Amino acid sequence: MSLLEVQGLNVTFRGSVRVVRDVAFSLEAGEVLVILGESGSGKSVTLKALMRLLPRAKTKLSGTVEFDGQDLLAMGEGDLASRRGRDIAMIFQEPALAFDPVFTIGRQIAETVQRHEGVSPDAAMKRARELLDLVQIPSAERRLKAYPHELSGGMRQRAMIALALSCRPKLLLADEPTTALDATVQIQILLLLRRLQRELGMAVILVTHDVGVAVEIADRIAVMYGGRFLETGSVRDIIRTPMHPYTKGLFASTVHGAVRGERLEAIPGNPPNPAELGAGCGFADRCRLVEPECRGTDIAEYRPGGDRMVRCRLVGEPA
Amino acid sequence: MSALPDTRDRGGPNQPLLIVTSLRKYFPIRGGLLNRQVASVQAVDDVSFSVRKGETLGIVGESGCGKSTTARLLMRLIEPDVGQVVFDGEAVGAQDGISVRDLRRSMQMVFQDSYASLNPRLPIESSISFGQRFQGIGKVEAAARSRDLLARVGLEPNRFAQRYPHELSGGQRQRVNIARALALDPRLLILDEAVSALDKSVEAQVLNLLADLKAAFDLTYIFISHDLNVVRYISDRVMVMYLGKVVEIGPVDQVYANPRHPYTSALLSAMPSMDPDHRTEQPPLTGDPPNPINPPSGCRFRTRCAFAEDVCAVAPALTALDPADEHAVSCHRETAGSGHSGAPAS
Amino acid sequence: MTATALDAPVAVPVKSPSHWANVVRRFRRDPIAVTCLVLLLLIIAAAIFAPWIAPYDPYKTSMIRRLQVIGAPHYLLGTDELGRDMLSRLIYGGRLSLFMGLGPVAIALVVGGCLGVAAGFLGGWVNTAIMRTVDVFYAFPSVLLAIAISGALGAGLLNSIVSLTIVFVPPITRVAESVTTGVRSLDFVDAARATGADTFSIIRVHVLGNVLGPVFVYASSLISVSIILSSGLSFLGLGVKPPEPEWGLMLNTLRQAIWINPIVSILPGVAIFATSICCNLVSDGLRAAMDMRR
Repeated sequence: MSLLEVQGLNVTFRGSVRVVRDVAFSLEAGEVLVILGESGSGKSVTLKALMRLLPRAKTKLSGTVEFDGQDLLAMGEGDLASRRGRDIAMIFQEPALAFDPVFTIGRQIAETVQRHEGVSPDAAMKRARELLDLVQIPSAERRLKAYPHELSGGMRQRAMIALALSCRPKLLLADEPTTALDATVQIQILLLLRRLQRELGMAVILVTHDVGVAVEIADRIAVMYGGRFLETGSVRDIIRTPMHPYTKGLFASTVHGAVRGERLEAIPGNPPNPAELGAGCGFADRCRLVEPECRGTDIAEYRPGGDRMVRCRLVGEPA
Repeated sequence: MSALPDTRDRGGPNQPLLIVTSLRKYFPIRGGLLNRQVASVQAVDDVSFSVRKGETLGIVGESGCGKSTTARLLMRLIEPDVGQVVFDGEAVGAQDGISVRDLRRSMQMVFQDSYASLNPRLPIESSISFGQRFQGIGKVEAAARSRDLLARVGLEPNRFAQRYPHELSGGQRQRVNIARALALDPRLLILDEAVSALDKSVEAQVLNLLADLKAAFDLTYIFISHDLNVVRYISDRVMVMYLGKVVEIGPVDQVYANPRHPYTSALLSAMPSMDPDHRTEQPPLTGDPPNPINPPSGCRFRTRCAFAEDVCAVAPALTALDPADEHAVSCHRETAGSGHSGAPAS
Repeated sequence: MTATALDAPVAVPVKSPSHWANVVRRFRRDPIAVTCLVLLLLIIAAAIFAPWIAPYDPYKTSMIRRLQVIGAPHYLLGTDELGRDMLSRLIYGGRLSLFMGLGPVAIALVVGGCLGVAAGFLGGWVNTAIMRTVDVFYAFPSVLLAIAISGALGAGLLNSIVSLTIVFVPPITRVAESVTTGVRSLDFVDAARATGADTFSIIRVHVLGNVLGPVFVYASSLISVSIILSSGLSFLGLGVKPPEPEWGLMLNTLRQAIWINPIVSILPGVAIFATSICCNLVSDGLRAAMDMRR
């Protein structure tokens, strides 16, 4: 049985705006899935929906999210709260958001450990110290007593990872964790995540818009656009042989490997506004290969084999 | 416009469009009861470079390196403490040179945040026309020029001229910013992280647009970015900055293929791999970029450099690797006779 | 660049509603704000048209008909301690009370706004000079400051207005300075400077439009404070003198009557309360209407 099994996930804002449409995937223990998408694709919302972190009043969730056999969307708040932090943890783009500025790092990590594992304060602080070592923060002992604003960006990001790992979660959700970091720091954090993921046997779902980040860390990639998964597959398959016109367009327009002086093959138009997307393929307005049948009815998933999935009429007939 | 000789050209094709010498800017940090200066942010320190007519100079570096401050110093949005800027042979601010006001006709800037760059209360056309009115262009003519520029940057004037910034997407807003920058008919355009905040699919469109405009309007670009891939694609020469200093400068292909400064190599290796079978195994640098407040003495990179030696306590100068070469580096290990064990023999 | 259907030429220019048009539209959708605005306008209209609306002469006394209750024949809201009709006094009283409420705030808005924008935009020693002076005034609680200045200048309508204006200039200056400093640091101001525009034009075109809104909303929240303070000054004998009808003054003179006819005695207070609440809710509605944009 997979660690995580998501079926028919739909997220609707304010009654009518569907920002996530029929997302389905499964994740094995220890696997890294990267959701690759631009702004407005619904990738961050998908992640937050898994842990039900979206504001209850304005959001409607439907579908099933089976984690370790239990449906997270159907659970009561109390049960869910005990799973959050302990079995599933999340790290964010802005580490400052994860920490309370008036308490020290050590205190906050220890507090999480205490609450979920019920150990003594001293044991919890010792564990906090071990965690800071694990994420390669130098002078960990001293840093335990530091406040969040005293750490640099990269250090804060590592501290946030330590906080997330404090209870040895089975699944780590990461929302653009390296986007705000400098290049030399970004690669350090990516390699750290990769190493920790391997050592702890943790499954990871990471959301990003950067193809390079996906290549460095993913086992599988899901390309998201307009609230839907347009294409999924192993990282090699997606990077080497993209099948969906959007994915192909994305890779063709990338600056990496482009020749100076030659025009880039840009995808025309702008990423869509979820409020304006109707039925049919969300990419139709920008697709070079668009045909009249592409609009009007939602495109079904096509599985060409292996664990690949493509949502495009022109790639193949639905299975 | 590109077929005719540029009537604005005063110095001729061999005169560099911009010569920057020893630019310095320290920002005071005030504290205590009487707001005294307790420290300073050494944002830009002894930066010198030149820009040839018609080229694109890329400036790369991480946060705190001083690239954005350099841009603002060139635009005279901030006054430098020390240093001289010469535009097409005329010293800026000097009696017999070019005034700051005239400089502004010739040099314009596009900022990173496309939304904060536009007054949310003004329709697009007014934003573009505003600057023109101060250079003696009448209201009607300014409006016509604004509409024409909108069309040039790929935004249909009837559809966009009377709209407000919040109604446009990031890519469209950035096009407006480019149109606004071109309104005064400048010769040099500074693009400060102009495409960094855009989605990748839109970034390609804007890069194509910038290439078209450069040819059409005979422009020279300074392209500031933290994205090395984009800089390689668009630049002729590249300048690498670290903690307020220039560490390496040269033709982009040369610098990328054969980086001589340890920081440049680290920066290049830090780019994520695009090949799933050959992922990065080791980070090239550990730790964070240090704070420009109280930077290390001597060579500012020596605290993180794998090749640092005692001689690095003295600040290295930017020296050409080879007199004929345009490739220059600020590193003792590359300078003959510096005393560094790795230095080439003189 | 390949054009798409989204970039096709359009025959008629597309015009979008301006920011203020949007604010009005959003304000109209807020039932509480609209109701309060209507009530406020009614109160103001009653004050303006007092001579035509008020049933009696507000100054005419009648010792026999003192302190009649509400609903007494001919006297809808009763009479005060000198037999004057309460309804007429309240309507006429609105004139002075509203004038003393709106006047100081309007003047302080202009003065404080100019000082704040100048301090925020020019920075440096100009900012220090203005803001530290403002801080001195800020050190005093507003009520005490109003009383002290009024006491020094003497009683009277004009002196009260001067005194209240002085009380309100510092907070408005502070808000204006802080908003201006925020706007000043935005890139579009730098872009405007980069085109060679002069300072005054930049302030006029780029800064004012973005600053006026928040400052105006803040000032409107001060109107209710001003009404209450001016009524307080009159109550203490520092504002308007009897027999002028003014709500605060009326509260004072009706003080002794509170044991005899409590409801009539507090009517001026009700008027102050109602007007202040309406002002506050309209101000809140305005703030909410302006808030939705980034």
